[in-house]
Amino acid sequence: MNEEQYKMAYECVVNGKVGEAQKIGEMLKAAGVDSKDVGKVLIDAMNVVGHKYREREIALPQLILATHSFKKMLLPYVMDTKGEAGTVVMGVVQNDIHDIGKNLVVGMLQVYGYKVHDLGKDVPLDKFVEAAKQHNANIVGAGTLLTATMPELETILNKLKESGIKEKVKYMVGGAPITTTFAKRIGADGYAADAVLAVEMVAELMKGNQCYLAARQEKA
Amino acid sequence: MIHSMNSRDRVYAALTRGPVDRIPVCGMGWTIGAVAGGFSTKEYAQDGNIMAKGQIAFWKKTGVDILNPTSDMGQLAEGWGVKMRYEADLTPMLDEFAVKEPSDWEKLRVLDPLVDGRMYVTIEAVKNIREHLGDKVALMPYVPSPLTSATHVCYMEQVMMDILLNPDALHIGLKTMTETIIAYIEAIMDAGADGVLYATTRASGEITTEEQYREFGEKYDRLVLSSLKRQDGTNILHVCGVEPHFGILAGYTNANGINWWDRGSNLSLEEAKKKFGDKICLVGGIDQTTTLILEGAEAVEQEAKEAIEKGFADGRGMILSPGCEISPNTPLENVKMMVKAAELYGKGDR
Repeated sequence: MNEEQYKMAYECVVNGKVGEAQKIGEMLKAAGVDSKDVGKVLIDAMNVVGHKYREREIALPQLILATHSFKKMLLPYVMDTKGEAGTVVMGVVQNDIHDIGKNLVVGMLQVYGYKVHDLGKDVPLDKFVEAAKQHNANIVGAGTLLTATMPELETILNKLKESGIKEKVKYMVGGAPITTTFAKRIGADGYAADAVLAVEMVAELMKGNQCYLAARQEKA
Repeated sequence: MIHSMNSRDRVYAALTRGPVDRIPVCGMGWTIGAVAGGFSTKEYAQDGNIMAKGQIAFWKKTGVDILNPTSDMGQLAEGWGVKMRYEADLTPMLDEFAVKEPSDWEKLRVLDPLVDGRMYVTIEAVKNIREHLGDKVALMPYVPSPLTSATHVCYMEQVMMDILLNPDALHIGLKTMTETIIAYIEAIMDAGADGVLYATTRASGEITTEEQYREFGEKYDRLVLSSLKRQDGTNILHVCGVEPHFGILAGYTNANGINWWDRGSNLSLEEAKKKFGDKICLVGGIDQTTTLILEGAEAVEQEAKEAIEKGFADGRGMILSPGCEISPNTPLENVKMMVKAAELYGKGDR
């Protein structure tokens, strides 16, 4: 990837130029640029976007546009994704359709080289277990935005245990009302307060560790 | 010595940061009313009399000063064409959004709260509860702001993108929703409510910048609040999220209280008391995501005691409350303990 191509891809994501992203991805692929090189520039760009989001220089609208931009730029390469970093199964629990946070995490993990099987929203709880088995997942992630459906996160963990695959997978939870306290209480291996922290947390889970990355303000 | 007050007077006094006999308690109980009354959530969400019975049962079992007769986020949204999914014991879900592309914002129409959607359920419930309980309780139903409503009629990710890519179209929708929300609040007040729990849920730093909230949120919030016939400030703002734009919200007129997740956000009760305690009544202190749902009554008592010490040391300007709607699974004895703790530790004549 030459300097001009790097700059074009980088600025597209940082500035959230979602309308141009797929075209740039196609141009890069046609020019013979390797998917790993595209991944690297996208990671550079998302690191900047993530930093700006963490520092609140930008908010959700810009973060979403940047995420859509990198996903669109990756589309031409998506068939080549091998998921060398690990395999993750993710979804929002049944009776909850709030998936914005989950979508951000899925996009971020894809950029960082994970194979992500996105189960979507309003997902029946058994499906988390089935998909984990089917895809031989390293990590299962479940989220909810509603206080009413928070207990479902513990139910999924129990189902993973009952099915006998919990020893093979790490289990992470997330969502607006979820806290480190709650995650630890139900026995989840990982929790992160946002999509940027989730990448760091997932890397720790892949090492076999537990990891809880609270928002800066959360009580201990 | 302050004489014993009824709940309405206690809440009114707290909202004006006046003296109270004890700190009032807000239940933040929506569909838990169905559980308390032994009804299915499905029937509770569609029948004002059942909602009233459920809320009254919740009140009898807990003794809270403020009831929030409400069921779900679809009460207005359904009127705009959002398809809902109803199941017996679950909060009704937004199943298919009405605004699917930016041009759909201008297709929204101003709703009649007595006819459209399920706003009538809350209106009937308010009327019914007031008839049965009189001054024994303050009634403040949840009403979503225009920007919050936008995320109930359209996929939130799309709303966030429209803020940057299609602002004019989004503004058209927000104007329509503003008119509807004003009419809804007036109907609620006519039915006997004391005010509303006005949800400004997108006013938080992890969702919008201050600049974005000023343009797409505050502008319409102020229009709603300033358009109401009643201007005595007996409305409480509610903000979700971990970085509330407190500075913006505390400057609103006609809303004398703010409810936020003080236990999970970047603004603690103690800090809010120092910065905003002379401007606005603080509504919080109890963590609905951990203490209230996971712990026993003793932990609730301790948390309430601590919150009262931090936010109510001067005996005024605070309502003890969870930071958001409580889960229907929350033990009722924990909610009741909030009231007991208010009576034990929250006397106002200090």
